[in-house]
Amino acid sequence: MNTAQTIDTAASPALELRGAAKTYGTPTGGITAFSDFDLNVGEGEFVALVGPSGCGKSSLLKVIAGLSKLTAGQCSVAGESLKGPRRDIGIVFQSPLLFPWRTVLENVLLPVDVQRLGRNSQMSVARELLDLVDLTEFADRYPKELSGGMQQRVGIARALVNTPTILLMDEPFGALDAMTREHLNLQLQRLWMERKKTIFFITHSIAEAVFLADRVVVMTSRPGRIAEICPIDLPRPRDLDTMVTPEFGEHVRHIRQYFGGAEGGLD
Amino acid sequence: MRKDPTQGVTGWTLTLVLFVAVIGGWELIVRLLDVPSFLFPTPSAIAVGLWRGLGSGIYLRHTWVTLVEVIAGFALGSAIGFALGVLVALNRTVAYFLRPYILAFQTIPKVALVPVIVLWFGLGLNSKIVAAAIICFFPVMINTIAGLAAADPDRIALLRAMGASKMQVFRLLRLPTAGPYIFAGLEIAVTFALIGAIVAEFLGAEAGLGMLMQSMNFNMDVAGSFSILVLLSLIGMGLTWAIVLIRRRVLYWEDPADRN
Ligand SMILES: Nc1ncnc2c1ncn2[C@@H]1O[C@H](COP(=O)(O)OP(=O)(O)O)[C@@H](O)[C@H]1O
Ligand SMILES: [Mg+2]
Repeated sequence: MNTAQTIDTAASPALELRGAAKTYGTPTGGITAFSDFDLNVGEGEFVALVGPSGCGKSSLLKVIAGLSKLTAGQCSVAGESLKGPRRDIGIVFQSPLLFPWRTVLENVLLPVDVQRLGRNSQMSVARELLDLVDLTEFADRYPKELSGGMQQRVGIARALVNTPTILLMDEPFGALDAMTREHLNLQLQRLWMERKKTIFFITHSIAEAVFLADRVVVMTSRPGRIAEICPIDLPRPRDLDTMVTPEFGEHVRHIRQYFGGAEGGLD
Repeated sequence: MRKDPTQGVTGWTLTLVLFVAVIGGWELIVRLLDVPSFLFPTPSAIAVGLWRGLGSGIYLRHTWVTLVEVIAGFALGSAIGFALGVLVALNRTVAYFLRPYILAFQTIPKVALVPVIVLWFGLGLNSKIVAAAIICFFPVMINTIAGLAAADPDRIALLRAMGASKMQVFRLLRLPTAGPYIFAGLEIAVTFALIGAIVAEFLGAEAGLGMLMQSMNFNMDVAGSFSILVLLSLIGMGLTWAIVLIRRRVLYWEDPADRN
Protein backbone atom coordinates (compact mmCIF):
# COMPACT_ATOMS: atom_id res chain seq x y z
CA MET A 1 0.00 0.00 0.00
CA ASN A 2 1.37 3.35 -0.99
CA THR A 3 -0.01 5.13 2.05
CA ALA A 4 1.78 8.35 1.31
CA GLN A 5 -0.24 8.87 -1.86
CA THR A 6 -3.65 7.67 -0.73
CA ILE A 7 -4.14 9.98 2.21
CA ASP A 8 -6.58 12.11 0.27
CA THR A 9 -9.20 9.38 0.08
CA ALA A 10 -11.72 8.19 2.61
CA ALA A 11 -11.60 4.48 1.76
CA SER A 12 -9.64 2.15 -0.54
CA PRO A 13 -9.44 3.75 -3.98
CA ALA A 14 -12.09 2.72 -6.46
CA LEU A 15 -10.25 4.75 -9.05
CA GLU A 16 -6.65 5.81 -9.05
CA LEU A 17 -4.82 8.09 -11.48
CA ARG A 18 -1.07 8.67 -11.21
CA GLY A 19 0.73 11.19 -13.37
CA ALA A 20 -1.92 10.57 -16.01
CA ALA A 21 -1.60 12.45 -19.29
CA LYS A 22 -3.20 12.30 -22.70
CA THR A 23 -1.72 13.81 -25.83
CA TYR A 24 -3.54 13.44 -29.14
CA GLY A 25 -1.37 13.10 -32.19
CA THR A 26 -2.55 15.40 -34.95
CA PRO A 27 -1.05 16.24 -38.35
CA THR A 28 0.08 19.62 -36.98
CA GLY A 29 1.69 18.12 -33.87
CA GLY A 30 0.36 16.97 -30.52
CA ILE A 31 -2.55 18.37 -28.54
CA THR A 32 -2.19 17.71 -24.84
CA ALA A 33 -5.67 17.30 -23.40
CA PHE A 34 -4.53 16.92 -19.76
CA SER A 35 -1.36 16.09 -17.89
CA ASP A 36 0.09 15.44 -14.42
CA PHE A 37 -3.25 14.21 -13.24
CA ASP A 38 -3.11 12.61 -9.79
CA LEU A 39 -6.34 11.57 -8.15
CA ASN A 40 -7.72 8.87 -5.88
CA VAL A 41 -11.45 8.37 -5.73
CA GLY A 42 -12.60 6.37 -2.73
CA GLU A 43 -15.21 3.67 -2.87
CA GLY A 44 -18.66 5.19 -2.54
CA GLU A 45 -17.30 8.68 -2.96
CA PHE A 46 -18.92 11.36 -5.10
CA VAL A 47 -16.24 13.34 -6.90
CA ALA A 48 -17.05 16.17 -9.29
CA LEU A 49 -14.68 17.56 -11.87
CA VAL A 50 -15.12 21.15 -13.02
CA GLY A 51 -13.18 23.00 -15.65
CA PRO A 52 -13.66 25.17 -18.73
CA SER A 53 -14.48 23.47 -22.02
CA GLY A 54 -11.53 21.99 -23.80
CA CYS A 55 -9.55 21.35 -20.61
CA GLY A 56 -9.64 17.60 -21.18
CA LYS A 57 -12.51 16.46 -18.96
CA SER A 58 -14.14 14.23 -21.57
CA SER A 59 -10.75 12.90 -22.63
CA LEU A 60 -10.12 11.82 -19.05
CA LEU A 61 -13.51 10.18 -18.83
CA LYS A 62 -12.93 8.26 -22.06
CA VAL A 63 -9.69 6.93 -20.61
CA ILE A 64 -11.42 5.73 -17.44
CA ALA A 65 -14.16 4.20 -19.58
CA GLY A 66 -11.49 2.18 -21.36
CA LEU A 67 -12.21 3.86 -24.71
CA SER A 68 -8.82 5.48 -25.10
CA LYS A 69 -5.35 5.04 -23.65
CA LEU A 70 -3.21 7.31 -21.55
CA THR A 71 -0.02 8.55 -23.17
CA ALA A 72 1.70 8.76 -19.78
CA GLY A 73 1.04 7.68 -16.22
CA GLN A 74 -1.31 5.05 -14.89
CA CYS A 75 -4.96 4.51 -14.31
CA SER A 76 -6.29 1.71 -12.17
CA VAL A 77 -9.77 0.70 -11.17
CA ALA A 78 -10.40 -1.35 -8.04
CA GLY A 79 -6.67 -1.90 -7.74
CA GLU A 80 -6.29 -3.31 -11.25
CA SER A 81 -4.46 -1.48 -13.98
CA LEU A 82 -6.94 -0.49 -16.69
CA LYS A 83 -6.76 -2.45 -19.95
CA GLY A 84 -10.03 -1.68 -21.68
CA PRO A 85 -13.75 -1.27 -21.02
CA ARG A 86 -14.83 -2.75 -17.68
CA ARG A 87 -18.20 -4.16 -16.75
CA ASP A 88 -18.15 -2.60 -13.29
CA ILE A 89 -18.20 0.90 -14.82
CA GLY A 90 -21.38 2.56 -16.06
CA ILE A 91 -21.39 5.71 -18.18
CA VAL A 92 -23.80 8.56 -18.78
CA PHE A 93 -22.96 11.08 -21.50
CA GLN A 94 -24.29 14.56 -22.07
CA SER A 95 -26.83 13.39 -24.62
CA PRO A 96 -29.01 10.44 -23.60
CA LEU A 97 -27.95 8.34 -26.63
CA LEU A 98 -31.02 6.16 -26.48
CA PHE A 99 -31.73 3.68 -29.28
CA PRO A 100 -34.95 4.78 -31.02
CA TRP A 101 -35.97 1.23 -32.00
CA ARG A 102 -35.92 0.08 -28.39
CA THR A 103 -38.61 0.82 -25.84
CA VAL A 104 -37.60 2.60 -22.66
CA LEU A 105 -37.35 -0.73 -20.85
CA GLU A 106 -35.34 -2.29 -23.69
CA ASN A 107 -33.01 0.71 -23.65
CA VAL A 108 -32.39 0.17 -19.96
CA LEU A 109 -31.67 -3.48 -20.73
CA LEU A 110 -29.04 -2.66 -23.38
CA PRO A 111 -26.01 -3.50 -21.18
CA VAL A 112 -27.77 -6.73 -20.20
CA ASP A 113 -28.05 -7.67 -23.88
CA VAL A 114 -24.48 -6.67 -24.66
CA GLN A 115 -23.06 -8.58 -21.70
CA ARG A 116 -25.45 -11.50 -22.22
CA LEU A 117 -26.68 -11.43 -18.64
CA GLY A 118 -30.12 -12.72 -19.62
CA ARG A 119 -33.09 -10.37 -19.82
CA ASN A 120 -35.32 -12.53 -17.64
CA SER A 121 -33.00 -12.52 -14.67
CA GLN A 122 -32.37 -8.77 -14.93
CA MET A 123 -35.94 -7.68 -15.63
CA SER A 124 -36.73 -6.92 -12.00
CA VAL A 125 -33.56 -4.86 -11.64
CA ALA A 126 -34.47 -2.87 -14.76
CA ARG A 127 -38.02 -2.21 -13.55
CA GLU A 128 -36.74 -1.22 -10.12
CA LEU A 129 -34.39 1.30 -11.74
CA LEU A 130 -37.24 2.71 -13.82
CA ASP A 131 -39.10 3.17 -10.54
CA LEU A 132 -36.10 4.90 -9.07
CA VAL A 133 -36.01 7.44 -11.90
CA ASP A 134 -39.82 7.82 -11.87
CA LEU A 135 -40.43 6.34 -15.30
CA THR A 136 -42.45 3.24 -14.44
CA GLU A 137 -45.39 4.20 -16.64
CA PHE A 138 -43.12 4.84 -19.60
CA ALA A 139 -41.49 1.40 -19.72
CA ASP A 140 -43.10 0.45 -23.02
CA ARG A 141 -42.89 3.81 -24.74
CA TYR A 142 -40.31 4.74 -27.36
CA PRO A 143 -37.66 7.42 -26.70
CA LYS A 144 -39.17 9.94 -29.13
CA GLU A 145 -42.23 10.14 -26.85
CA LEU A 146 -40.08 11.34 -23.93
CA SER A 147 -38.76 14.78 -23.00
CA GLY A 148 -35.02 15.44 -22.81
CA GLY A 149 -34.95 15.15 -19.04
CA MET A 150 -36.87 11.88 -19.11
CA GLN A 151 -34.52 10.49 -21.76
CA GLN A 152 -31.53 11.37 -19.63
CA ARG A 153 -33.11 9.52 -16.70
CA VAL A 154 -33.48 6.46 -18.93
CA GLY A 155 -29.76 6.84 -19.70
CA ILE A 156 -28.98 6.84 -15.98
CA ALA A 157 -31.09 3.74 -15.36
CA ARG A 158 -29.32 2.06 -18.28
CA ALA A 159 -25.92 2.87 -16.79
CA LEU A 160 -26.94 1.20 -13.53
CA VAL A 161 -28.72 -1.92 -14.77
CA ASN A 162 -25.73 -4.24 -14.68
CA THR A 163 -24.99 -2.94 -11.15
CA PRO A 164 -21.64 -1.31 -11.82
CA THR A 165 -19.75 -0.02 -8.79
CA ILE A 166 -18.52 3.10 -10.54
CA LEU A 167 -20.66 5.58 -12.43
CA LEU A 168 -18.97 8.01 -14.84
CA MET A 169 -21.06 11.01 -15.85
CA ASP A 170 -19.95 13.50 -18.49
CA GLU A 171 -22.03 16.69 -18.13
CA PRO A 172 -25.16 14.54 -17.91
CA PHE A 173 -27.51 17.46 -17.25
CA GLY A 174 -25.69 20.07 -19.32
CA ALA A 175 -28.30 20.15 -22.08
CA LEU A 176 -31.30 20.49 -19.77
CA ASP A 177 -33.16 23.53 -18.50
CA ALA A 178 -32.42 24.80 -14.98
CA MET A 179 -35.57 23.41 -13.35
CA THR A 180 -35.15 19.91 -14.76
CA ARG A 181 -31.52 20.05 -13.84
CA GLU A 182 -32.19 20.85 -10.17
CA HIS A 183 -34.74 18.08 -10.03
CA LEU A 184 -32.32 15.56 -11.50
CA ASN A 185 -29.54 16.69 -9.16
CA LEU A 186 -31.80 15.87 -6.22
CA GLN A 187 -32.71 12.51 -7.76
CA LEU A 188 -29.07 11.70 -8.41
CA GLN A 189 -28.12 12.50 -4.82
CA ARG A 190 -30.91 10.24 -3.56
CA LEU A 191 -29.85 7.47 -5.93
CA TRP A 192 -26.24 7.78 -4.83
CA MET A 193 -27.16 7.73 -1.15
CA GLU A 194 -29.40 4.68 -1.63
CA ARG A 195 -27.11 2.71 -3.90
CA LYS A 196 -23.69 3.68 -2.59
CA LYS A 197 -22.02 3.97 -5.96
CA THR A 198 -18.72 5.64 -6.62
CA ILE A 199 -19.57 8.57 -8.87
CA PHE A 200 -17.18 10.57 -11.01
CA PHE A 201 -19.18 13.51 -12.26
CA ILE A 202 -17.99 15.99 -14.87
CA THR A 203 -19.72 19.32 -15.05
CA HIS A 204 -19.52 22.82 -16.34
CA SER A 205 -21.44 24.23 -13.43
CA ILE A 206 -19.60 25.08 -10.22
CA ALA A 207 -22.87 25.20 -8.28
CA GLU A 208 -23.84 21.74 -9.49
CA ALA A 209 -20.44 20.36 -8.52
CA VAL A 210 -20.60 21.87 -5.01
CA PHE A 211 -24.17 20.72 -4.55
CA LEU A 212 -23.48 17.09 -5.45
CA ALA A 213 -19.92 16.23 -4.57
CA ASP A 214 -17.90 15.15 -1.57
CA ARG A 215 -14.91 16.66 -3.30
CA VAL A 216 -14.63 18.98 -6.26
CA VAL A 217 -11.61 18.65 -8.50
CA VAL A 218 -10.89 21.99 -10.14
CA MET A 219 -9.14 21.86 -13.49
CA THR A 220 -7.56 24.70 -15.40
CA SER A 221 -7.06 24.71 -19.11
CA ARG A 222 -4.37 24.06 -21.62
CA PRO A 223 -3.10 21.61 -20.88
CA GLY A 224 -5.65 20.61 -18.28
CA ARG A 225 -4.16 20.23 -14.82
CA ILE A 226 -5.58 19.96 -11.33
CA ALA A 227 -5.60 23.39 -9.70
CA GLU A 228 -7.13 22.28 -6.42
CA ILE A 229 -9.17 19.52 -4.86
CA CYS A 230 -11.80 21.07 -2.61
CA PRO A 231 -13.58 18.99 0.04
CA ILE A 232 -17.23 19.96 0.37
CA ASP A 233 -18.34 19.35 3.95
CA LEU A 234 -22.00 20.39 3.54
CA PRO A 235 -24.33 18.01 5.39
CA ARG A 236 -26.45 15.44 3.54
CA PRO A 237 -29.01 15.09 2.24
CA ARG A 238 -28.59 18.46 0.57
CA ASP A 239 -31.66 20.19 -0.79
CA LEU A 240 -32.51 23.37 -2.64
CA ASP A 241 -32.18 25.36 0.59
CA THR A 242 -28.58 24.19 0.84
CA MET A 243 -27.85 26.32 -2.22
CA VAL A 244 -28.70 29.55 -0.40
CA THR A 245 -26.57 28.89 2.68
CA PRO A 246 -23.46 31.06 3.21
CA GLU A 247 -21.25 27.92 3.30
CA PHE A 248 -22.48 26.86 -0.14
CA GLY A 249 -21.85 30.35 -1.50
CA GLU A 250 -18.39 30.36 0.03
CA HIS A 251 -17.43 27.10 -1.74
CA VAL A 252 -18.75 28.39 -5.05
CA ARG A 253 -16.90 31.68 -4.68
CA HIS A 254 -13.70 29.91 -3.74
CA ILE A 255 -13.79 27.68 -6.82
CA ARG A 256 -14.85 30.49 -9.12
CA GLN A 257 -11.69 32.44 -8.37
CA TYR A 258 -9.86 30.03 -10.66
CA PHE A 259 -11.95 31.03 -13.61
CA GLY A 260 -12.39 34.74 -13.10
CA GLY A 261 -15.87 36.08 -13.17
CA ALA A 262 -18.87 34.35 -14.70
CA GLU A 263 -22.01 33.40 -12.78
CA GLY A 264 -21.97 29.72 -11.54
CA GLY A 265 -20.81 28.48 -15.00
CA LEU A 266 -17.49 28.58 -16.72
CA ASP A 267 -17.15 29.89 -20.28
CA MET B 1 -50.05 23.31 -37.85
CA ARG B 2 -51.25 24.42 -41.29
CA LYS B 3 -53.82 22.35 -43.09
CA ASP B 4 -52.39 20.13 -45.79
CA PRO B 5 -54.44 20.62 -49.04
CA THR B 6 -53.50 17.12 -50.27
CA GLN B 7 -55.21 15.44 -47.31
CA GLY B 8 -58.86 14.65 -46.60
CA VAL B 9 -62.04 14.63 -48.67
CA THR B 10 -61.29 17.81 -50.66
CA GLY B 11 -57.91 16.30 -51.56
CA TRP B 12 -59.55 13.22 -53.05
CA THR B 13 -62.15 15.22 -54.90
CA LEU B 14 -59.50 17.48 -56.42
CA THR B 15 -57.41 14.48 -57.45
CA LEU B 16 -60.41 12.92 -59.17
CA VAL B 17 -61.43 16.14 -60.91
CA LEU B 18 -57.90 16.65 -62.17
CA PHE B 19 -57.69 13.06 -63.44
CA VAL B 20 -60.97 13.35 -65.34
CA ALA B 21 -59.88 16.70 -66.81
CA VAL B 22 -56.54 15.34 -68.05
CA ILE B 23 -58.04 12.21 -69.57
CA GLY B 24 -60.96 14.14 -71.06
CA GLY B 25 -58.66 16.80 -72.48
CA TRP B 26 -56.42 14.14 -74.02
CA GLU B 27 -59.42 12.37 -75.61
CA LEU B 28 -60.76 15.66 -76.92
CA ILE B 29 -57.48 16.89 -78.40
CA VAL B 30 -56.68 13.60 -80.17
CA ARG B 31 -60.21 13.49 -81.64
CA LEU B 32 -60.36 17.17 -82.65
CA LEU B 33 -56.95 17.10 -84.30
CA ASP B 34 -57.79 13.78 -85.93
CA VAL B 35 -54.49 12.16 -84.96
CA PRO B 36 -54.24 8.68 -86.59
CA SER B 37 -54.74 5.98 -83.93
CA PHE B 38 -51.48 4.20 -84.88
CA LEU B 39 -49.54 7.35 -83.93
CA PHE B 40 -51.28 8.39 -80.76
CA PRO B 41 -54.26 6.56 -79.27
CA THR B 42 -57.19 8.03 -77.38
CA PRO B 43 -57.66 7.10 -73.72
CA SER B 44 -60.85 5.28 -74.66
CA ALA B 45 -58.96 3.12 -77.18
CA ILE B 46 -56.38 2.32 -74.52
CA ALA B 47 -59.14 1.41 -72.06
CA VAL B 48 -60.72 -0.88 -74.65
CA GLY B 49 -57.33 -2.54 -75.28
CA LEU B 50 -56.86 -3.03 -71.56
CA TRP B 51 -60.35 -4.45 -71.18
CA ARG B 52 -59.92 -6.95 -74.04
CA GLY B 53 -56.46 -8.02 -72.94
CA LEU B 54 -57.51 -8.58 -69.38
CA GLY B 55 -60.77 -10.26 -70.37
CA SER B 56 -59.10 -12.77 -72.69
CA GLY B 57 -56.62 -13.72 -69.96
CA ILE B 58 -53.63 -12.91 -72.21
CA TYR B 59 -52.51 -9.93 -70.14
CA LEU B 60 -52.75 -11.84 -66.90
CA ARG B 61 -50.59 -14.67 -68.20
CA HIS B 62 -47.86 -12.29 -69.37
CA THR B 63 -48.19 -10.13 -66.25
CA TRP B 64 -47.54 -13.21 -64.18
CA VAL B 65 -44.36 -13.99 -66.15
CA THR B 66 -43.05 -10.43 -65.83
CA LEU B 67 -43.95 -10.28 -62.15
CA VAL B 68 -42.03 -13.49 -61.43
CA GLU B 69 -38.99 -12.12 -63.29
CA VAL B 70 -39.11 -8.79 -61.50
CA ILE B 71 -39.60 -10.21 -58.02
CA ALA B 72 -36.96 -12.92 -58.45
CA GLY B 73 -34.50 -10.41 -59.96
CA PHE B 74 -35.24 -7.90 -57.25
CA ALA B 75 -34.75 -10.49 -54.50
CA LEU B 76 -31.49 -11.69 -56.04
CA GLY B 77 -30.14 -8.21 -56.75
CA SER B 78 -31.11 -6.84 -53.36
CA ALA B 79 -29.57 -9.79 -51.56
CA ILE B 80 -26.31 -9.36 -53.48
CA GLY B 81 -26.38 -5.59 -53.01
CA PHE B 82 -26.97 -5.94 -49.29
CA ALA B 83 -24.28 -8.59 -48.86
CA LEU B 84 -21.69 -6.56 -50.80
CA GLY B 85 -22.67 -3.45 -48.87
CA VAL B 86 -22.15 -5.21 -45.55
CA LEU B 87 -18.81 -6.60 -46.72
CA VAL B 88 -17.58 -3.18 -47.85
CA ALA B 89 -18.85 -1.47 -44.70
CA LEU B 90 -17.32 -3.95 -42.29
CA ASN B 91 -14.03 -4.79 -43.90
CA ARG B 92 -11.59 -2.02 -44.76
CA THR B 93 -9.45 -4.24 -46.96
CA VAL B 94 -12.43 -5.38 -49.02
CA ALA B 95 -13.61 -1.78 -49.25
CA TYR B 96 -10.21 -0.64 -50.46
CA PHE B 97 -9.92 -3.21 -53.22
CA LEU B 98 -13.55 -3.07 -54.27
CA ARG B 99 -13.85 0.72 -54.48
CA PRO B 100 -12.38 1.19 -57.99
CA TYR B 101 -14.70 -1.50 -59.38
CA ILE B 102 -17.68 0.07 -57.69
CA LEU B 103 -16.79 3.45 -59.17
CA ALA B 104 -16.30 1.93 -62.62
CA PHE B 105 -19.57 0.03 -62.41
CA GLN B 106 -21.38 3.12 -61.19
CA THR B 107 -20.68 4.96 -64.43
CA ILE B 108 -21.82 2.17 -66.78
CA PRO B 109 -25.38 2.60 -68.01
CA LYS B 110 -26.55 -0.75 -66.69
CA VAL B 111 -29.18 -1.25 -69.45
CA ALA B 112 -26.29 -1.43 -71.92
CA LEU B 113 -25.40 -4.78 -70.35
CA VAL B 114 -28.79 -6.32 -71.04
CA PRO B 115 -28.14 -7.45 -74.67
CA VAL B 116 -25.11 -9.40 -73.49
CA ILE B 117 -27.07 -10.91 -70.64
CA VAL B 118 -29.76 -12.10 -73.05
CA LEU B 119 -27.03 -13.57 -75.21
CA TRP B 120 -25.56 -15.44 -72.25
CA PHE B 121 -28.69 -16.55 -70.46
CA GLY B 122 -31.05 -17.16 -73.37
CA LEU B 123 -34.65 -16.24 -74.13
CA GLY B 124 -36.20 -17.75 -71.00
CA LEU B 125 -36.74 -16.40 -67.49
CA ASN B 126 -33.08 -16.53 -66.45
CA SER B 127 -31.85 -13.66 -68.60
CA LYS B 128 -34.70 -11.43 -67.33
CA ILE B 129 -33.97 -12.27 -63.71
CA VAL B 130 -30.26 -11.60 -64.15
CA ALA B 131 -30.93 -8.33 -65.99
CA ALA B 132 -33.31 -7.17 -63.27
CA ALA B 133 -30.81 -8.17 -60.57
CA ILE B 134 -27.85 -6.42 -62.23
CA ILE B 135 -29.74 -3.19 -62.66
CA CYS B 136 -31.23 -3.17 -59.18
CA PHE B 137 -28.41 -4.34 -56.91
CA PHE B 138 -26.48 -1.10 -57.11
CA PRO B 139 -28.79 1.28 -55.23
CA VAL B 140 -29.20 -1.32 -52.50
CA MET B 141 -25.44 -1.74 -52.15
CA ILE B 142 -24.69 1.99 -52.10
CA ASN B 143 -27.43 2.71 -49.58
CA THR B 144 -26.36 -0.19 -47.39
CA ILE B 145 -22.80 1.15 -47.32
CA ALA B 146 -23.99 4.68 -46.52
CA GLY B 147 -26.45 3.45 -43.89
CA LEU B 148 -23.98 1.23 -42.07
CA ALA B 149 -21.51 4.12 -41.97
CA ALA B 150 -24.14 6.47 -40.56
CA ALA B 151 -24.12 5.09 -37.01
CA ASP B 152 -23.41 7.82 -34.51
CA PRO B 153 -19.85 7.65 -33.04
CA ASP B 154 -21.11 8.46 -29.53
CA ARG B 155 -23.45 5.49 -29.56
CA ILE B 156 -20.64 3.30 -30.85
CA ALA B 157 -18.48 4.53 -27.95
CA LEU B 158 -21.30 3.81 -25.53
CA LEU B 159 -21.61 0.24 -26.78
CA ARG B 160 -17.87 -0.31 -26.74
CA ALA B 161 -17.70 0.98 -23.17
CA MET B 162 -20.27 -1.69 -22.28
CA GLY B 163 -17.89 -4.24 -23.75
CA ALA B 164 -19.70 -4.81 -27.06
CA SER B 165 -17.90 -6.73 -29.81
CA LYS B 166 -17.73 -5.50 -33.39
CA MET B 167 -20.49 -7.94 -34.31
CA GLN B 168 -22.68 -6.63 -31.49
CA VAL B 169 -22.14 -3.04 -32.57
CA PHE B 170 -23.21 -4.16 -36.04
CA ARG B 171 -26.33 -5.98 -34.89
CA LEU B 172 -27.45 -3.63 -32.13
CA LEU B 173 -26.63 -0.31 -33.77
CA ARG B 174 -25.32 -0.24 -37.34
CA LEU B 175 -27.97 -2.43 -38.91
CA PRO B 176 -31.01 -0.69 -37.38
CA THR B 177 -29.44 2.70 -38.20
CA ALA B 178 -29.01 1.55 -41.79
CA GLY B 179 -32.66 0.41 -42.01
CA PRO B 180 -34.11 3.61 -43.48
CA TYR B 181 -31.24 3.90 -45.97
CA ILE B 182 -31.60 0.28 -47.08
CA PHE B 183 -35.35 0.64 -47.57
CA ALA B 184 -34.85 3.83 -49.58
CA GLY B 185 -32.50 1.73 -51.76
CA LEU B 186 -35.06 -1.07 -52.05
CA GLU B 187 -37.75 1.38 -53.20
CA ILE B 188 -35.48 2.53 -56.03
CA ALA B 189 -34.34 -1.01 -56.74
CA VAL B 190 -37.81 -2.41 -57.27
CA THR B 191 -38.58 0.02 -60.10
CA PHE B 192 -35.10 -0.61 -61.51
CA ALA B 193 -35.81 -4.34 -61.51
CA LEU B 194 -38.95 -3.70 -63.55
CA ILE B 195 -36.92 -1.73 -66.09
CA GLY B 196 -34.33 -4.52 -66.29
CA ALA B 197 -36.89 -7.25 -66.88
CA ILE B 198 -38.82 -5.26 -69.52
CA VAL B 199 -35.70 -4.25 -71.46
CA ALA B 200 -34.53 -7.87 -71.46
CA GLU B 201 -37.94 -8.95 -72.73
CA PHE B 202 -37.73 -6.37 -75.53
CA LEU B 203 -34.47 -7.92 -76.63
CA GLY B 204 -35.77 -11.43 -76.82
CA ALA B 205 -38.28 -13.38 -74.81
CA GLU B 206 -40.90 -16.09 -75.05
CA ALA B 207 -43.39 -14.39 -72.76
CA GLY B 208 -43.94 -11.33 -70.59
CA LEU B 209 -45.44 -7.86 -70.93
CA GLY B 210 -42.32 -6.46 -72.60
CA MET B 211 -42.44 -9.13 -75.27
CA LEU B 212 -46.17 -8.56 -75.74
CA MET B 213 -45.62 -4.84 -76.12
CA GLN B 214 -42.89 -5.47 -78.65
CA SER B 215 -45.16 -7.62 -80.80
CA MET B 216 -47.93 -5.02 -80.58
CA ASN B 217 -45.51 -2.39 -81.80
CA PHE B 218 -44.74 -4.55 -84.83
CA ASN B 219 -48.47 -4.67 -85.54
CA MET B 220 -48.77 -0.89 -85.05
CA ASP B 221 -51.20 -1.52 -82.21
CA VAL B 222 -50.21 1.61 -80.31
CA ALA B 223 -53.34 1.59 -78.17
CA GLY B 224 -52.42 -1.96 -77.09
CA SER B 225 -48.87 -0.85 -76.26
CA PHE B 226 -50.22 1.99 -74.19
CA SER B 227 -52.58 -0.34 -72.38
CA ILE B 228 -49.58 -2.39 -71.36
CA LEU B 229 -47.81 0.76 -70.21
CA VAL B 230 -50.78 1.37 -67.94
CA LEU B 231 -50.39 -2.16 -66.61
CA LEU B 232 -46.65 -1.68 -66.06
CA SER B 233 -47.22 1.53 -64.21
CA LEU B 234 -49.76 -0.22 -61.97
CA ILE B 235 -47.26 -3.01 -61.33
CA GLY B 236 -44.55 -0.50 -60.48
CA MET B 237 -46.81 1.34 -58.07
CA GLY B 238 -47.99 -1.91 -56.50
CA LEU B 239 -44.45 -3.14 -55.90
CA THR B 240 -43.33 0.19 -54.44
CA TRP B 241 -46.37 0.21 -52.20
CA ALA B 242 -45.53 -3.31 -51.03
CA ILE B 243 -42.01 -2.16 -50.08
CA VAL B 244 -43.48 0.79 -48.19
CA LEU B 245 -45.78 -1.55 -46.27
CA ILE B 246 -42.90 -3.87 -45.39
CA ARG B 247 -40.86 -0.85 -44.35
CA ARG B 248 -43.55 0.24 -41.93
CA ARG B 249 -43.48 -3.15 -40.30
CA VAL B 250 -39.71 -3.56 -40.17
CA LEU B 251 -38.86 0.03 -39.24
CA TYR B 252 -41.71 0.26 -36.74
CA TRP B 253 -40.02 3.04 -34.74
CA GLU B 254 -39.82 5.45 -37.66
CA ASP B 255 -41.79 8.65 -37.45
CA PRO B 256 -44.19 8.76 -40.43
CA ALA B 257 -43.19 12.42 -40.89
CA ASP B 258 -39.51 11.45 -41.29
CA ARG B 259 -40.18 9.09 -44.17
CA ASN B 260 -39.74 10.46 -47.64
N1 LIG C 1 -9.96 12.51 -30.65
C1 LIG C 1 -9.30 13.69 -30.52
N2 LIG C 1 -8.29 13.99 -31.36
C2 LIG C 1 -7.62 15.16 -31.23
N3 LIG C 1 -7.87 16.08 -30.30
C3 LIG C 1 -8.86 15.85 -29.42
C4 LIG C 1 -9.64 14.64 -29.48
N4 LIG C 1 -10.56 14.66 -28.50
C5 LIG C 1 -10.38 15.84 -27.85
N5 LIG C 1 -9.36 16.54 -28.40
C6 LIG C 1 -8.84 17.85 -27.93
O1 LIG C 1 -8.46 17.71 -26.58
C7 LIG C 1 -8.84 18.85 -25.85
C8 LIG C 1 -9.72 18.44 -24.68
O2 LIG C 1 -10.97 18.02 -25.17
P1 LIG C 1 -12.11 17.40 -24.24
O3 LIG C 1 -11.52 16.30 -23.45
O4 LIG C 1 -13.28 17.09 -25.06
O5 LIG C 1 -12.40 18.66 -23.28
P2 LIG C 1 -13.67 18.97 -22.36
O6 LIG C 1 -14.48 17.74 -22.22
O7 LIG C 1 -13.06 19.43 -21.07
O8 LIG C 1 -14.41 20.08 -23.00
C9 LIG C 1 -9.52 19.79 -26.81
O9 LIG C 1 -8.58 20.75 -27.22
C10 LIG C 1 -9.92 18.90 -27.97
O10 LIG C 1 -9.90 19.62 -29.17
MG1 LIG D 1 -16.56 17.42 -22.67
